[in-house]
Amino acid sequence: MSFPTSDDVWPFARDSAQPLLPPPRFAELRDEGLVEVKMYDGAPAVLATKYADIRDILMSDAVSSDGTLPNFPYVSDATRANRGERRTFDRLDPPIHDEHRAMLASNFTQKRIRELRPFVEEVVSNLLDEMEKANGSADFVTMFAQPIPAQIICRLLGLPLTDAPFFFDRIHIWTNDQGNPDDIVKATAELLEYFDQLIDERIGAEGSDIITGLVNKQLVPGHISRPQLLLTFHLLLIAGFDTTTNMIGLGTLLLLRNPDAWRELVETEDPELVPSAVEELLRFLSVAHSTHIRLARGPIPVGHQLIPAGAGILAPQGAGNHDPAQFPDPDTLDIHRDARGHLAFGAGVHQCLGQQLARLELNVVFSLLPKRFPDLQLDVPFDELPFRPNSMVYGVESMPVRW
Amino acid sequence: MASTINGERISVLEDKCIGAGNCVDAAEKYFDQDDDTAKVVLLRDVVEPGDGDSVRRAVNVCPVAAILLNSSGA
Repeated sequence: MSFPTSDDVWPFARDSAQPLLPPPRFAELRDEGLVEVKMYDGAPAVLATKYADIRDILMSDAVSSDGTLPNFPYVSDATRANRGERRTFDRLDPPIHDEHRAMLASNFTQKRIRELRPFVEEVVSNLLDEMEKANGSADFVTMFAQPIPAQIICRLLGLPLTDAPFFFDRIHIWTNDQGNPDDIVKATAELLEYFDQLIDERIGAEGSDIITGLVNKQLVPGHISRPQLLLTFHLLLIAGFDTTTNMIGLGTLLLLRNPDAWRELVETEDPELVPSAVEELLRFLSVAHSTHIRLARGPIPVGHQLIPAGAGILAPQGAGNHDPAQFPDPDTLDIHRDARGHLAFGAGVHQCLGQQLARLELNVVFSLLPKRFPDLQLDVPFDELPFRPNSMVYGVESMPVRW
Repeated sequence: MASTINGERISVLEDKCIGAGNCVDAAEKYFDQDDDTAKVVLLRDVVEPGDGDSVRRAVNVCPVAAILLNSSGA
């Protein structure tokens, strides 16, 4: 390849003093344009760090997400185990990808998501009531950040909330990019077995939830195979539980680290401020920090360069979202900036299916939380917080708070 | 080419659309989604005075570049 070669091994580490920012190496390499780095097994991959380049790559018709193709880059044996052969539609290319995504898309339109707002407000309000009873301190993650998406996705999928601990446990094993491959395979098998039994229960059942709908409108008429549908359920569960949890946790933490922004959200009467703040939090944190790995099926034009067919590609959203050419002073949180157009949900055909639901959950959280708990603060020193650098989605394990 | 996009014509590539819904958020006056397929529905195809920014935003936030703008006469 004709790109400057770096000795860096992917993934890059974050700065432990600045754990809410992407790895500082992005900024050092950005002026080089596309560079070649090494994966854990020595395989080369082209890394993009500019916003425009990352967008070009993710939106290219020649880019592939198919992890079964030769030379597809992996970051560890664990990610080979959890994603290698697992052909959920996030790992499929058009046109098959589009068919499977389309089966779900009507559940996530703007209109459908807006209709959910009263329900989401009720979930969040009830959890804030619970928190208020906790005598002035709590673990923000288990008390608030986890239960919100859990309650919402369980309702949408028609899953009993009492099974949420089982889901959390298996999801945590599955999303550990440096975990034991055998554990990951086992966790997946257990989730798929759970869904396999569920399918039998839902055939012919009445219900407006997504799972019952897919079983009876797609599986029964033969539009999707049973193994493929199981993978779709697996993907919905992982995506619904883990990503928004981490955005609620880290988003709150980032606001507490920026007290002026927090105070503005406590005091604001402006209905436009929270949506703007949510986009900025999404941009700044870019929690989906491992969903950017691709392969060039054909040559991909990027700016004035060309990534050759067969090359492994890294197009990390966090690098693009902190490119000063697109977002001036990118490492400063500015809840008034226009952050729309950020890459936190990706770009191209794989852009997050649940993004409007995530936006709704975050908008309700950051509308209600600051006003109910204006004096919220961390109950441990910031540098003692247990971050999750090896998790598929970046987050914090626990976050003791008081008020 | 005109300095504003007022009067420009909007077209959408329905086959490319993945139903992300970002255009609806950006410019509700111009874009909706089909209830069953989630695909984009164009509500009006000529950009009216004062709407240039929101339509341009819809073009920019479309993840698959399925919204096109053509200046009139082009």
